[in-house]
Amino acid sequence: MKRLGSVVFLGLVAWCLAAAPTKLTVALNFPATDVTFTNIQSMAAAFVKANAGVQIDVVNLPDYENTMKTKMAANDLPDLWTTHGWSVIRYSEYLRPLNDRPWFARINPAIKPVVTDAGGKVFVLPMDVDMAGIVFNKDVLDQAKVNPYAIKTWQDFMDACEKIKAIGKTGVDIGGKSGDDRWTVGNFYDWVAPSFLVTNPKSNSVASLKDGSFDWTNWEPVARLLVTFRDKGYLNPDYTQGTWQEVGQNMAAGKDGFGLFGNYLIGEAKKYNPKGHYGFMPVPAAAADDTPSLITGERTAIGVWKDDKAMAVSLKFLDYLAQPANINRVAKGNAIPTGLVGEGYKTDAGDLTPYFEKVKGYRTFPYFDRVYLPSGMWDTMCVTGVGLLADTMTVEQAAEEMKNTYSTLMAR
Amino acid sequence: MPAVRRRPWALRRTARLAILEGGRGMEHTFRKTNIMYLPALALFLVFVVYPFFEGIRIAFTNWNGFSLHFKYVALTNFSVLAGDRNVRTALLNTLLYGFGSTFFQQVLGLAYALLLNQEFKGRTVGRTITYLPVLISAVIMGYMWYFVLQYDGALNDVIALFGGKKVLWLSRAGTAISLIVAINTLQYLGVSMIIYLAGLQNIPQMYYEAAVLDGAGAWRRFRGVTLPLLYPAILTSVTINLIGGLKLFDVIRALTGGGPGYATHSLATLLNATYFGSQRAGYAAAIGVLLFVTIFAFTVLTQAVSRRKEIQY
Repeated sequence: MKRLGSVVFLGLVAWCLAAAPTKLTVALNFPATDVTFTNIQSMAAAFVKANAGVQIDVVNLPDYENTMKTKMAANDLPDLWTTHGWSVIRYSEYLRPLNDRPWFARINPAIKPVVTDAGGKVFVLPMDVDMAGIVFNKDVLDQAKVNPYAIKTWQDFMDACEKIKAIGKTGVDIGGKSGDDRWTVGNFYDWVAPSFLVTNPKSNSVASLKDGSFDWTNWEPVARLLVTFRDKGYLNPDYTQGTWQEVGQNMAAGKDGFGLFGNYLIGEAKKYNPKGHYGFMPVPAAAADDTPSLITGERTAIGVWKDDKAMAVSLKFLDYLAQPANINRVAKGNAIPTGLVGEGYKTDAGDLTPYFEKVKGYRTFPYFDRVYLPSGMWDTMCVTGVGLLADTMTVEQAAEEMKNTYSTLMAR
Repeated sequence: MPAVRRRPWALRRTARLAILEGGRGMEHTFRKTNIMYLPALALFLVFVVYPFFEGIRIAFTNWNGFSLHFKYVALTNFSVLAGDRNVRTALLNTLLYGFGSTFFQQVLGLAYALLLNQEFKGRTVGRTITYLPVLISAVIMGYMWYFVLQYDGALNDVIALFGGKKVLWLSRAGTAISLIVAINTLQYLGVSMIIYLAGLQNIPQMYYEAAVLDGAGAWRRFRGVTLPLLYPAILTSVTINLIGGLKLFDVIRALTGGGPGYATHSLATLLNATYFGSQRAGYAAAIGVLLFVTIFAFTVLTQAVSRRKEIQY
């Protein structure tokens, strides 16, 4: 009788476990108010409706990067998560390769090199392609009589900033607050550094950056440009205390001409002034014998944990996200190209479409820190940038700091 | 009837039994007490002792904080630490935050205690108001002051109202450090006040009466009676505030993030930035070891110096 009772009990437990829904956690680095978050959340709801026995929690982890680092250290990760530009260098150790997925062959050639490791493995589904230049407020530029597409070099850019300053506006809003918003200053370097070190086919430091022999005195012109912008009065007046929210607000209010950010700055500005006129232009070159270019990288890229206990369901959900309707929707929400191409996939950049047409044909380069610097240098870029702006370090000290961190991280 | 004479071996047996019974009783009480503090001991071992030794172990590696792979690098992290300009800056700032805040907290805390030890209407309200900032989270305090001190904050608004030019208060290292010391002082001087109030109330009145009879004035009574008899309270207050000041983190994180550059970092915030920002967990752990040694050394030194001056009464 006792044995029969035990068997019945164990059977009940097994039945309960079998009947329990499969629960997936999808972690996104986008805040819950962001259009990408809401889009993926509704896609998850549709998937759950079509697949009985599945539950999906779409979550935004607070302090996303640091939380993910802690989760990796504990080997306790969500089923799926967004990699915000670091799928190869940082997260690949914990992600399942996806070369065997049906959509693999459709990855947009513009993003494929960025998400492929040295062994040819891809670890994420890129839902869109971040294609960034310099954002501008068209009304301010029109008032200052600046043609953004006539700007070829950083000297031309400074001449444009001078014209904007003459009409009482700020040339470039850099944000600048140390602490949580120091990334706004790091962005300046990510935009400027390629023009000095990567884009010029006649003279660049690509090989030395990748093999660790880079001479860090070559960083000084990059750092010096930031100081020049400050000294000439082209930056926002609170250039060491400006927040990201203020960058968006100032762009919306027409206080600034330019912002060295991706098109997400336009999304931010539209929150405050949806009727404003915004556009983007290529990033100027450093030398007259080079040409302007664009920056590409991951924006919404999702991978699957290699030790996921619900692997089959996670991969099924990922394949569902890769369907044309979902890819098109996420890319449209960010007003950037789709991450997959081919039949059914269509880029719709909304009112930014004319600007994408204007920049067709310009060369694209990946985000500088994600490809040419070891993981962990982004913070040093940000901190030394803020230090330069506040005069707590010199250009030479900033370059030395970058060199020290670079050497340590490359030696690992 | 003759008295019952117990044989010696019986006496010894009785005595042994008595000792054993007493011992068992004591042992029983001892075992009960042991069991009572086992949960606290377990928590202490898991959340304090284990992380402490694990942190020291990590300080000898080049771990990035999240990878499955790392190498042991012997004393490399410590040799880099010895020559790191940013660590020197953070160490100096740590000492400024620790000793600077502590000094002002003792002076102001004692002043408030002396004032609020007097009998007057509203002294309870005064004590409450002085202590209230202690109850506020340090992060909230930091952010509150950030909104006052930021470029478009309340302070600059007042300055602009009087025709002055707005100032970037948090962009200059010296000003920012002074502001951090001031905010930390303001937040925790209530702790010193409470400790000194308790100390003052424990000083017997007869000493003051004797001093008055001897013709001692207010300053002489303070120097000759109050201060010496307050040494236990001073020791406690200084130790508590010094430890808090040396490991200051929240206010710095909220106000400046350790910037601009590395200018206002303490060892605690630099450790955090090195671990999470630069992804150098091994090096961050080495900074943690330095922080522990710093706090431990100064705490022991403070205790040793203060104990010499303690007066028993």
